[in-house]
Amino acid sequence: MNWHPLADLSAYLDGELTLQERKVVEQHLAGCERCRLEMEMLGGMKASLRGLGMLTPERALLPTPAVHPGESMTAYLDGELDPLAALGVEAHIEACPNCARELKALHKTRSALRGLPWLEEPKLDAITPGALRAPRRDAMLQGRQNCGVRQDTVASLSTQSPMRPMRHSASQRRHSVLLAVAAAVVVVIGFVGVTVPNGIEPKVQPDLRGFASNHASFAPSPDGVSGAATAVAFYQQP
Amino acid sequence: MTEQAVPTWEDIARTHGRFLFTVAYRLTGNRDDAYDLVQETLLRVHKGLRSYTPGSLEGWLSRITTNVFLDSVRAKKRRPTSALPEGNPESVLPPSHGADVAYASATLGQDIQAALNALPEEFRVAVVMCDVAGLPYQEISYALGVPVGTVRSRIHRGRHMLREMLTRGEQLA
Repeated sequence: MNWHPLADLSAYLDGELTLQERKVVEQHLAGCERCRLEMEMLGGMKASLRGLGMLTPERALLPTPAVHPGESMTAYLDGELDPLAALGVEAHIEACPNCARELKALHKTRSALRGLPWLEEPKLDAITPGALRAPRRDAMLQGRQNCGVRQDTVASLSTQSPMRPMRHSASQRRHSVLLAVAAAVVVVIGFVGVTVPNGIEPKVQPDLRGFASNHASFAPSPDGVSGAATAVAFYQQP
Repeated sequence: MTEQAVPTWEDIARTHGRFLFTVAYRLTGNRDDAYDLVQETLLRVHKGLRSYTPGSLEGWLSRITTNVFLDSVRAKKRRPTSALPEGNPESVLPPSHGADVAYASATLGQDIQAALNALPEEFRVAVVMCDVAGLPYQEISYALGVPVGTVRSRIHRGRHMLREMLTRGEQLA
């Protein structure tokens, strides 16, 4: 037997041959040991492949729509989520009015931020020594202009009266005068204390009688007179 | 005659997730690539649901999965990053455990997967669609855009090559 229907054996196994093709193969198999072995091998291979069974993924294949996206919503808004996660957020938003509102609010905030005007850089060649000595308020106003403050606000600030020198109140002036007078008095007294001669200092008379009566012994002496009486008599001498 | 409803995207992921993951794993040979393949497939499913006409859902999903897989294989071939083990089955087959029949051993699943990984993609896809996804030749032909005769030939040759690789691995052990 020179011809073998090898290419048809798998299709025969899979039931993919026409009736006529199947008859031809069956007739051949009946008389060909080699093709029967081949058929057995292919059948075993097919059974093994089918027997591998189903696998279970260990992690979710889709983001869970039940979970609120939270921070992912901003990333979704910015197109920074991977496409599948983005679809998960969309699925959640369709079913969750709170998250839909939050997304809308985030979108508005982002639009407001993105709508801010571009700033003009300050003109450096316009800065002169005179401009540097300008009052602080003028510099501040200039800064506000450069920072995009509304021009009408700047104009209203500009129409206020110009800056004047600082003035003190009447009470402040009175305090200053009193302080000056007190300082002058202190200086004069000090000057007099330093320059007065020692001779005119008043003479101090000690109270010898009181001292003797306080400190002398009141015990009687052998002659019967107390120490105190003796001391008082002594100090009473002229 | 009852009219079949078009499933939602979430329904498909829930009810056919295991099927998709299994087909993806058999095609890619590792879990990370399988997850990537499933996710890309689900994206295409989401885009294509509007045009889906109720019929063989698993056939439709298998078609998308294999097309995504073949697209990624073509893309990798355009920018190869590592040497492919293709054509050298000994280098990818794990050591056999000396069972009398190769495809009856306890490690058969790993052996067969390693042999599948070593098959050229066109044969691997045909065999996986037939023996893992359980699709008829006509549907595989439609999915791959090749005649039914080509599908028949690829499946036969694919099984034959697998068997040879497994037998060779057995002899080397």
